[in-house]
Amino acid sequence: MTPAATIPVVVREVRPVTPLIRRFTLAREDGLPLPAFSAGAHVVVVMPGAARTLRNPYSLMGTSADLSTYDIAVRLSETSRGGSRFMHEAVAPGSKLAITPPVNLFPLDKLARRHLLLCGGVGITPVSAHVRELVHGGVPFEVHCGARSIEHATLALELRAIAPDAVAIHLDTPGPTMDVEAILAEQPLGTHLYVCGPGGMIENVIATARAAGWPESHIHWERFTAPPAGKPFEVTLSRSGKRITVPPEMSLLEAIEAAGVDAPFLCRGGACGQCETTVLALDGTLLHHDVYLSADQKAAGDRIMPCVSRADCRTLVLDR
Amino acid sequence: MTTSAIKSRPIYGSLVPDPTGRHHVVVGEGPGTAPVMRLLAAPGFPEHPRHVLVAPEPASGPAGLAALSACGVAEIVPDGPSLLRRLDALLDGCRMGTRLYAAGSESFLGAVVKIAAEHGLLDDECRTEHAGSTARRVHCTHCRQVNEHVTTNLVACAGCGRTLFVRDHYSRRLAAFMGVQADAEQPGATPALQEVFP
Repeated sequence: MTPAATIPVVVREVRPVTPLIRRFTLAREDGLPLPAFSAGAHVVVVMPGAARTLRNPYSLMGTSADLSTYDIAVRLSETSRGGSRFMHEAVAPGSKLAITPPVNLFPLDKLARRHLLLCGGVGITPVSAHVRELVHGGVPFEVHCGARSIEHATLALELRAIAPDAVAIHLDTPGPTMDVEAILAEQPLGTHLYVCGPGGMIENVIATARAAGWPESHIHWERFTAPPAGKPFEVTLSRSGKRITVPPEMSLLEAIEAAGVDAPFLCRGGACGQCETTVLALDGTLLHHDVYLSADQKAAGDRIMPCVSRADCRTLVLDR
Repeated sequence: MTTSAIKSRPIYGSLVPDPTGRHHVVVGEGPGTAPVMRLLAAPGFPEHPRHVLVAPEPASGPAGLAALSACGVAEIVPDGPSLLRRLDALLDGCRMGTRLYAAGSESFLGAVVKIAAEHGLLDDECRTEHAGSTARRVHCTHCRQVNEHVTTNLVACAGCGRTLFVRDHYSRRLAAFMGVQADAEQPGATPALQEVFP
């Protein structure tokens, strides 16, 4: 599948939410309604950076009740590869961007008897949409939001105002922090767990849930890995007959796109599997950074997720 | 015509301990008592809290069941329907981390899986083992009567009297196989009556 056509949007509003997070309100340039979406969906924002086009996934925070605008929140990353810095520094009301149509890789499970949502930091963005959907449903839910301190908890306070009985806020300062083991211990049968936040938090929650006997079918998470920088490497694209160099700060997918080759993608965060590419020849090591391929598939070395993964190699030939 | 490629036909396994669970609910009905006993004796069956409910065949039951009951390992209930009511109440109080194991007739397993689904249990939390009769619960697609203990390919519906052909098409929601009028396409043309679900 090639990427669906992007939608030209104009930035209506930019609001600071916390010292690190800004909220952007986007509307279609032509004024028509945006596509409907379900809670947990994200769009990829296409940013016309000075040196190159930047593409980052961001969760949609509102609901489909009002499709005149989408709301996204962007945390300024200390290790920004350009995307979040561009959004924070170069985007103002009136700025023109493009987005892909929404895709949901983090939906609420319709069979759940109860929903338990845990989020940390900017991982609250999909949960903001989930809560707005859940307050209209008949299924009980419980939300735990972690934040550094009260000034970083604006979005959590917003959710608590929407669902005062269901939302708990846990601050690192002054504490106490979220006691994941205690939260997971007493959940009734049929509860589904959702977690979104920093990588370490997600790993800790999943490990705690497994240790408490939660089956895989009840554990859901979303982690968008920013493509890590690395050493440059050369790649041959056999189908398009091109030889490209992937610079240190550019992902393999971005380098393929920059060479004018149309490559599939959805999440650009190593989660969805859409960009999976066959490795035809390799002299060296693949540096897998995705959470999509299994350990065995990664070890086999015959495929790669170019949105986040790299290679340390003399030769790499891809079927692209 | 008893086997087909219809994917809704349930596939049963055998009861083996799931060490990832933290609490285990084990139920057996009639001939399902033997697989339950085997599971409880399995090496490595986790020493976690467990509830065992058994409805043995009247006046029988494998040797040793009375002993299990006497030392409180198993709770003996008089029959399948009472067991299902007891299971429903038991699951109400269960927490995440529970695993369900069921053994017995196909009708019994269907009813157990239906109750489990109503409590939000998914496939990876339930183990089933078929024991004893393959008799089916048959749902009449014309009048919605459920006909119990059907062992033949054709059955006269207790609700509307139509002669139903028993399909492999299974509904988890109803915990029953679909029965459709046997001669609907060609009036009067019905296959020969056979016992196919002994």
